[in-house]
Amino acid sequence: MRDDGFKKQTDLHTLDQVTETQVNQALDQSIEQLSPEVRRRLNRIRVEAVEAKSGFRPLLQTAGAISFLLVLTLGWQLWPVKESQPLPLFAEELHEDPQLLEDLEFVYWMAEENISEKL
Amino acid sequence: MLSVQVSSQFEPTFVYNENQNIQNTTFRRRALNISIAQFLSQVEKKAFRMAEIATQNEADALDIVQDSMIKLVEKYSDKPAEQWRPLFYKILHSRIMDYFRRRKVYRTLFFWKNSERDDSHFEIQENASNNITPERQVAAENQLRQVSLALKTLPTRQQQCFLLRSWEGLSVKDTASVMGCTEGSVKTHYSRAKQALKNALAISE
Repeated sequence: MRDDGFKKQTDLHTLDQVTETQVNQALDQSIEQLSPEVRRRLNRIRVEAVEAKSGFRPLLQTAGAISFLLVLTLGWQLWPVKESQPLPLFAEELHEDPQLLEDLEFVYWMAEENISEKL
Repeated sequence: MLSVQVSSQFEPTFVYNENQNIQNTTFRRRALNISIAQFLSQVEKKAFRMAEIATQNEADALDIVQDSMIKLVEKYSDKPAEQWRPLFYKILHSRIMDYFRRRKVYRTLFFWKNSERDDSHFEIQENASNNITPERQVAAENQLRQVSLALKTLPTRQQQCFLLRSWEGLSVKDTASVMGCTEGSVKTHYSRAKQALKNALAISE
């Protein structure tokens, strides 16, 4: 009798497992048979959910890029352009410094004097 | 050069040469988005089916899944990847319960309106696979119909408990966390659901 009770319990447990397996298999099959429309909508939902989190960032980057270009363009248009002045001639620079010229003449004169004495 | 590997547990791992520093938050965020998108692609179909079994309405089920995905990504994407599954199903379960609460309020306020239950769930669905023969399709649809009817007859908590424990394979602890009840309650709901399903399927055969 004890064996019968144990066997009955085991049978019931097995039947539970069979039922559970049957239900899960049917549910797995039902997923495989989802309509293309449902699959497409699920795909779109997923993509939108993920993009929604990072969606603000591309928008910010685009806005930043446009703003930068705008500033660059306006700056290029409005920036005053100074007329470039010709560089002063070296002689003119020297001329503005008479002391330097005198010093140079003195050095040259000293050099010539040294050579003359040697000769 | 930076490359991102996504393991089977959806945890992004970063592979880089010794000279690169992985403090770039842009790269980190992109990897996380790829990882959570992969996770959602794994669970979306089951989640839809769970919601549809509960609500018996395809459109409502899609709305519930959408809300759940958005909530997970917005609020919990920074959590460790191993927590995403129980968190997602917790959100999904919460949305399903909200749906029933709203419907109850609606029916209470507009009691004179007939309930417009959508029985499209039991209609033959468009075959998504070209490999299913007509015989297999009919057999599968019959079985699905029987199983759906059996699940539909279950109280919501037993139904959700069975789907989470048995079909999705969540542990007793995670199922209790998702459903907001004790582990003892989960075991009770699960046991009763199995018994009820067994009786319902035995009758239908």
